[in-house]
Amino acid sequence: MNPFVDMVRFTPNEKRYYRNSIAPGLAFLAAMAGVAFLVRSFRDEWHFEVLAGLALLPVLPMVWIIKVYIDYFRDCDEWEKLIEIYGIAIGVLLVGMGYFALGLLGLFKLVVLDGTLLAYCMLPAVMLVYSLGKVVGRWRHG
Amino acid sequence: MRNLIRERREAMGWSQAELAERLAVSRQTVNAIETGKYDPSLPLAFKLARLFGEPIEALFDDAA
Repeated sequence: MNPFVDMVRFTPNEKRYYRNSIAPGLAFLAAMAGVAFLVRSFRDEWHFEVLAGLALLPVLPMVWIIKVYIDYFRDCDEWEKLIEIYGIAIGVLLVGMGYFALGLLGLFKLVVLDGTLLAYCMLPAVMLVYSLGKVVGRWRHG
Repeated sequence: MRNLIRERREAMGWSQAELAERLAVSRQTVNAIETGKYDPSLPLAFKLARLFGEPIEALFDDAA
């Protein structure tokens, strides 16, 4: 089997995980679109508590995705778990370091940071680097 | 760690996927073990030894 192809080829467990992630992923997109529309439309009419609750609705499909991931991780065999841990460690550490570096630049007032954007981008950034970390793990141990 | 998993598997006429199914692991896991990039846990090493009917030390060599 070609090792380079194997680095990016999904295991049956991974295929199941990505398949199971489609529904919560679509729910997240729908929730984001719906919430953006409702909050913009009723910002001046509805109470803050209602708007805040509404704005947090997209968290629910994200929790669903995390549940799907936990189920996937539980079904991983020992080598797959090693690769997952590689991905998670690299994702969290690199993104954490990037945020720390940005924080230093902000602290010394060398750049103006948009905290909202940074907070919103953290999880997607971790997910993206996690995927790259898995390729690194497979390259080293695959 | 060097091992003789590939040789034993081929002697049995099994593909990586078939061996993976017998071990209840992914084919990629079998490939990683065969290429020496991943050392299996003790339970998986015992499973391999039982499957091939040989002691663990006949399959794995930590001298290299």
